[in-house]
Amino acid sequence: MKSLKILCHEKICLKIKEQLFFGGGTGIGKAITNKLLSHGSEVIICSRSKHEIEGAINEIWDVSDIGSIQENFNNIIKKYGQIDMVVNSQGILTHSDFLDVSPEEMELVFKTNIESVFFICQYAVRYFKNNSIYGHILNICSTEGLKGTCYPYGLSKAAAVRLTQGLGKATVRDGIIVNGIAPGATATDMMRQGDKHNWAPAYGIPSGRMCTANEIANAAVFLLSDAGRQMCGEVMVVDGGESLH
Amino acid sequence: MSLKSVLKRCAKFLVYGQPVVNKYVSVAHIDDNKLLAGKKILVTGGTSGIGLSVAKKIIAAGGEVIITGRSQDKLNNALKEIDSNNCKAIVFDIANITSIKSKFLDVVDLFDGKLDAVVSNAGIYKQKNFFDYTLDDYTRTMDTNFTGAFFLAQATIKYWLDNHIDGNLVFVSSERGIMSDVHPYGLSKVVCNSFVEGLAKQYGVNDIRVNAVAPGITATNINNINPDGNLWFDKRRIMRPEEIAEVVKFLLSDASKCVNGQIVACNEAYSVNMDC
Repeated sequence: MKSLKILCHEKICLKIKEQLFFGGGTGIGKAITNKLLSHGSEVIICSRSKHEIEGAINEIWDVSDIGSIQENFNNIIKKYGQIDMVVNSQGILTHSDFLDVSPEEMELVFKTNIESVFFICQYAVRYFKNNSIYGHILNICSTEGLKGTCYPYGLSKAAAVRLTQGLGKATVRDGIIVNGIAPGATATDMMRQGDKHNWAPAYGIPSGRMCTANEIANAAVFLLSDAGRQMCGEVMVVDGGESLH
Repeated sequence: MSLKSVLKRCAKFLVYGQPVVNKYVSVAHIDDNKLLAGKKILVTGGTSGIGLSVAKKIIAAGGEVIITGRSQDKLNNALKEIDSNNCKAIVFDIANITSIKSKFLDVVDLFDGKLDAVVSNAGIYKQKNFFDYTLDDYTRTMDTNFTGAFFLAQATIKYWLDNHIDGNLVFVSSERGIMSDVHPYGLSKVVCNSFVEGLAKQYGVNDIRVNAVAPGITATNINNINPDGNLWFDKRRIMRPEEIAEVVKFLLSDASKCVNGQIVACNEAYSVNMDC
């Protein structure tokens, strides 16, 4: 994998609290970025705030502002040239009880977790097709999206899973590979917000621990590399056996 | 109860932290025309298509129904067509998220303070080329087909929990929600199906049932197909709204008391995957 420009949305977190945490507190987006940089790729990170990752280019872009996606996408292509891969790792996790979910919370979670993914995929696929690029798209979904749920996070991820599968099927003939990863509970800043969710999930995981962001990044590198070209519409579960019945 | 079994229960409670629950169920024969006798049911989007058929079936099975729709004219036409004292109508736009709570209270008032079941049926269908979807198309589809249904379910379940009613929620989803999809319509139904399973799991302990029907292509005015015309299209049969309504009626009735959290595909096995 040499000199590939990768558009990677850094994870967006609500109310990050600093505290010592299993796995070192790195987001999945950051871990994927570091892994890809170590494989010699060029990475452009798009996030709401500035992130200092050595070797990566940082662009400020709030993906929940759906109206600006097309403009931002075009600007980045104009500024940095050809893009070969797009990684959607943006996500918001909220912890409200079902009866307390407000329309505002619902809108924010859905805008960030699925609406932005839908439109970024739309522009990326169109761009790859028009320029005959054999591109890759990787959507970071969640195991929450593979099971029944009544919380906005899992519901938005359910749509992301099916979108990944649908797009994978629709675009593979054009040489565009769309895959996803469904991480289980992963030790990142996002999981840190709700205190009660800090350690408890580890009890339900057959492997006895949460995933680390690096483990998700390993799967991401495989799916983004040419080794995974025959995999399309695959949502790879990386969860230490958590979702097995 | 012997001392031994009391001690056993105490030990169970201490170890598992769960009180021992005894539950008894009796299943009696139910006459077809009394299947929904005395039940008060809300049907959203009841002015045409599957919603209208469901409303007719409910009344034929002895229930009372309130249909909702966006326009008063269409509601009046539907009321005329149903022609029954057990049917009422209220203007209710499910896509207007902020008004759902107050509109729901209006519905409960109209039913004299008791609501037994809800059929969440309102939906729109807009299909385009994947590259042509605008933000407006996306949000309108999502708001009507899913977000509205989510907040209606929230208001309903809150009401059932507060009033200790064994409620019954039936969603009219789509086979598209079972399969992979790139269109906002399909994605909204995917989310709907996941929501049904989640709600059933969470509130099953409160004796609230949540199920869905997932119809295939159905001859309604959402896709301008005449149910009395040729129902063979693209190597498959098109469903009639009455067929779907029959399944909804079954899910609404006590005959399906043991069914919870199910997405019942009504499409002659179209969505059954035989390729792998």
